[in-house]
Amino acid sequence: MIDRKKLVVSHAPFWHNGSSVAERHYNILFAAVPAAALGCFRYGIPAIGVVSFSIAFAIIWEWVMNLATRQAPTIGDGSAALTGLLLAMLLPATSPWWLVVVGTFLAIVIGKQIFGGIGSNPVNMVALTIAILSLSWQGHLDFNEALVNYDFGFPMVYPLAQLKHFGTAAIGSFSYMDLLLGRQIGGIGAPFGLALIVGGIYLILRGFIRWEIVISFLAGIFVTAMVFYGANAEKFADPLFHLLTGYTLMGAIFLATDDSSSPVGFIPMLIYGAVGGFMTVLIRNIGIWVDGVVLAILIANIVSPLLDKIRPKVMGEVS
Amino acid sequence: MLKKSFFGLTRSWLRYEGLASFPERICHVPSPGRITYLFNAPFEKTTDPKLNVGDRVKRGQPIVLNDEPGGTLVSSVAGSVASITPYDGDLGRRCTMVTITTDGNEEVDTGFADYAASPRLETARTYLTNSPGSPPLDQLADTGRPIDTIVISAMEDDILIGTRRHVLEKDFSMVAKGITVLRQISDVERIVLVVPRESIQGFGHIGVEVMAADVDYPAGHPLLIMNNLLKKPVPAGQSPEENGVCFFSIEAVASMGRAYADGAVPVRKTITFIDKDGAHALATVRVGTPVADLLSTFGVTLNERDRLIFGGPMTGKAIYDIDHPILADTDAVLVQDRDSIPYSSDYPCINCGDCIRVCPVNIPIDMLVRFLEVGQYAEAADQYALESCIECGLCGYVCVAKIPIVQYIRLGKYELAKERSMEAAND
Repeated sequence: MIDRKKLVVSHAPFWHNGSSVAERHYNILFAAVPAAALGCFRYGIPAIGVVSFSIAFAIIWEWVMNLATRQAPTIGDGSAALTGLLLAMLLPATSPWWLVVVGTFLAIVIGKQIFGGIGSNPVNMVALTIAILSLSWQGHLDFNEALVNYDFGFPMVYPLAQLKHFGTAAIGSFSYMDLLLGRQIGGIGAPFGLALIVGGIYLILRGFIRWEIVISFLAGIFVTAMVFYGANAEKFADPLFHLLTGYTLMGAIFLATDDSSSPVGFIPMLIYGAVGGFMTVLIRNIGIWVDGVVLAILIANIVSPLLDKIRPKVMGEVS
Repeated sequence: MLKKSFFGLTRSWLRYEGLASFPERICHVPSPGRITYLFNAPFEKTTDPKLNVGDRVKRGQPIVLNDEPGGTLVSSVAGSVASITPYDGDLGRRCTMVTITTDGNEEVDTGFADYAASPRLETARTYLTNSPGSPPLDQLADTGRPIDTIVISAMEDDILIGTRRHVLEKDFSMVAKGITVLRQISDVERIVLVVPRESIQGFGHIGVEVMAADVDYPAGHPLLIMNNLLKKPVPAGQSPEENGVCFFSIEAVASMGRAYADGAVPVRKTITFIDKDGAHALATVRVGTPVADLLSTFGVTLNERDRLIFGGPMTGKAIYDIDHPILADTDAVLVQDRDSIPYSSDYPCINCGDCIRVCPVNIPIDMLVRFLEVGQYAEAADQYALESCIECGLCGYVCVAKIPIVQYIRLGKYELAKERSMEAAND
């Protein structure tokens, strides 16, 4: 009996398809890089500073929380780095260092770790952070104010702010092609529509984000904006303008699709995305905020647990 | 598999194996010097045991351990009883292991031959319940749960296995005989043969209903056959037998046909052997052969911390002892190298939804697993359909966080059943 070989026993299934949490996060990170890189290229050193600082501090906060809660280190799974990058892409290039430190603290500690870490955050931590930062330091998150010293040869005004303050007459100078190619001001990565779309298509094809959410979010925006535009074309902007400005594409592709704060059923995902899109246009058109994306996503996140109750009939269920 | 390729738009799905991928030659594992039987009945010390060490048995003779259900098995060799020991099975099941050493002579018990001319359910029950394929004759004979349909399934339990497919395509004359026997010993009107969709042709002459199941795993699972083909969904937590349907593997039917054609209890089981590199081959083995003999026939050496599995990669059972016998219902043996064993983790669910998309019965697994992790089994069953799970293993296979989901589910079902039986005892 002594020389008997010890075999490993465990429970079925004995195979795994090889996916991992880290693979998922690093792929999303990879998909976000083109837009972030374009932002760094445009704004130069300040943008590189914000991006690096944000990723670094997100990881540091995660590690600090790992130590404080005596958990095994989770910084390797890419979740913190991804949060840091996405946060930086939404901030203006001129954000001061302390804003980034506070922002990453809010995202990692308040948004995620105090709820129990990865998989437990009830709302998207980046959306939550941007919401808190814009309530607390409005000036730093106002792109017209923050980027006043830059001139790149296209209108140096935030399109959504123009719309809010001066109406549709003020947005005539933006062509759709310019907006798509990122010839507008905004966060470090958020204005580069084409780069974000390419990243989004990559993630959808590889199955790392759920296409239902992206499509229904964009459709929600399009349909709601269309209704407003149809009702009063002089007062409200057309749907395409809403799709290409502000945080819309960042929200649809990277924020609304956050795993833990979104539902996974087919119908729930469609409703969730549509709620986000609908609320975005509602806030932009009749609310007081310039951009409604982060607030709309927070609202959709809060609705998500209710949507999880909608589920298909399970085989063998008597009802 | 079940994972998007870099450029592909669709996910490739796990499929049941076709026979084409198996080598033509079937390996014949020689009869071993000792045979082991696993009785599904607890080991008890009594003053007057029915079976003693040293007792002689003949091939085809029923070995009676005790009068409990599961206390009788038919010997596949002639020899003498070498040892009787207790054995711990899955989930606290208590079994008894009986080892018989063979002595070269193939003395055959003639008990069955006397009955072979006129098939009857009672004699078939005594002699054939542990024939290759393990015909569920006890279920068929259970008067408390009348059976109105017999399903003969040529669908494998798992991917990579070719055992039943082999019987379907290479041994069909015996299956046809077995069907005749089934008609003689039972008064079941409806007999359905379920075959993989690819090989639906050519079964018109045998006079049973033929249905085609998908070759996408797990379409051959009995509960999915019940739901999709027979249109008789089984309520959660119940078995097909409770709903009047008895499932026979096609090999069990072929064994019955062979038993009555030859007048002797068949003793050789067809199995699929899957090597460490995924290469698979068919073999015939005497029921009760220690798996070590099979491994040496295929020239496989097991190392420390390798994994040995009875069944396929999705639903099999890991074995801790290389002397464990090949049983009448063992369709495959899978060996995994220690370097290719994926380990599960204690990472939390990140709610990616991959499990939801692969679940064949639509269980909200992301919610279910949260309840199971904290041991709230009653809530999991009430709200999130714990008992509807058919344990196909796909959720665990795709889980990004590598949560042992199926293990949680089986534990949950087990604990729930224990709780309920305790409540029933208190009432």
